[in-house]
Amino acid sequence: MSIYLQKLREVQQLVKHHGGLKAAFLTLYKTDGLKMGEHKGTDQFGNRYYENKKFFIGRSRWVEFTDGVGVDYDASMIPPEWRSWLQYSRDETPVDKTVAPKKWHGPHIDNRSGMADQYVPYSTTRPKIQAWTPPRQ
Amino acid sequence: MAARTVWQRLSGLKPALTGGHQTGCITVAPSRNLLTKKQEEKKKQDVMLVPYRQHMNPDRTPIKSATPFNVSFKDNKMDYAVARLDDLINWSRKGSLWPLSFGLACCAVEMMHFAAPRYDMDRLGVVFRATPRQSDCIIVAGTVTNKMAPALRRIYDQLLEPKWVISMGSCANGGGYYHYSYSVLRGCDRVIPVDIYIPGCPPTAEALTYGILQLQKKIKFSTLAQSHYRR
Repeated sequence: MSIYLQKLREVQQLVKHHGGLKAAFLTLYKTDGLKMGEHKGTDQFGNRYYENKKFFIGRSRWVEFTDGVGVDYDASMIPPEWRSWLQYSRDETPVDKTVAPKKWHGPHIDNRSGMADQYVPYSTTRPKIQAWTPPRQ
Repeated sequence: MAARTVWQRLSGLKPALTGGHQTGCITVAPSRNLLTKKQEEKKKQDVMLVPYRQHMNPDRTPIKSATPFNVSFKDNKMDYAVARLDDLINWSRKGSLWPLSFGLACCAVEMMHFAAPRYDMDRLGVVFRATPRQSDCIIVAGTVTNKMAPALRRIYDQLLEPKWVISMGSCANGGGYYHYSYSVLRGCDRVIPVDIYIPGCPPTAEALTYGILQLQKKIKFSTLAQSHYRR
């Protein structure tokens, strides 16, 4: 019996953690799960990063994308320093231990494929073939 | 179970229960599921509750709508209805994308990883089918040889509309390592139209997952009903 009470209490805590029933449902809709963890930091885009070591490795660190992107979130929206923390390449978060920026670092942009400002490859070399222009009548 | 919980709740009363002087055996040797004080503190460190969502998201950004078609209901009701119909069609299509597995080389191994529990493709609604009649898309995984090219084209023609193609790996993208071989097709896009190219030799299962997600994104933007209505 008590274990069910405990579960109920966990659910109550989860809903409270996510800020009410509606917000919890939105998180459930966006991330297919409700997890509770320590808020480790927020990046420049507003994505929030969490850790809970109760879960096993691979699930113990996760990101909640900013509400500004809705359900159109994409893995490329995570900046590299946070990605390396998410993938367990680094132990410390960029908040705990700042990453020294290199001068060749550009601003982080996500994958723009399918958008108006998508990257389109182009050739910088002279074409090896000469196109034939059909004669006009 | 109940006794353990009661014991946990009553931990503050332990000295009173044991008559003021704690006998070593009770406090030192509790049930094995009870946490020590040190463990309890560590647990608190691990799970720090942030009580309100506002604390996490201070700027309170408005949630972006899920649909890519921003049609106002007030402007044109028919346009709005057709856009929502498109949303419904796209949602149902991208939610259950059944690919035809066309494993030709080592990329097929990564495709199997994608199917296996770690990168669990079922959670994206992706189920491999063995016949083009039941599939929505085809994953060309591996080197397409000249001998295989007619078969690939025929299988593509047998797919029912709507159909999409994912070209997986360097070899399928543009010949890759075997680009200068006399017997290899220099990219499967020479015989069939490709929607998503996944780079890598072979691409990881994660890359294939990302490719599937990109294809879902592409499907989300398709305007079947809207373009039909406009015509």
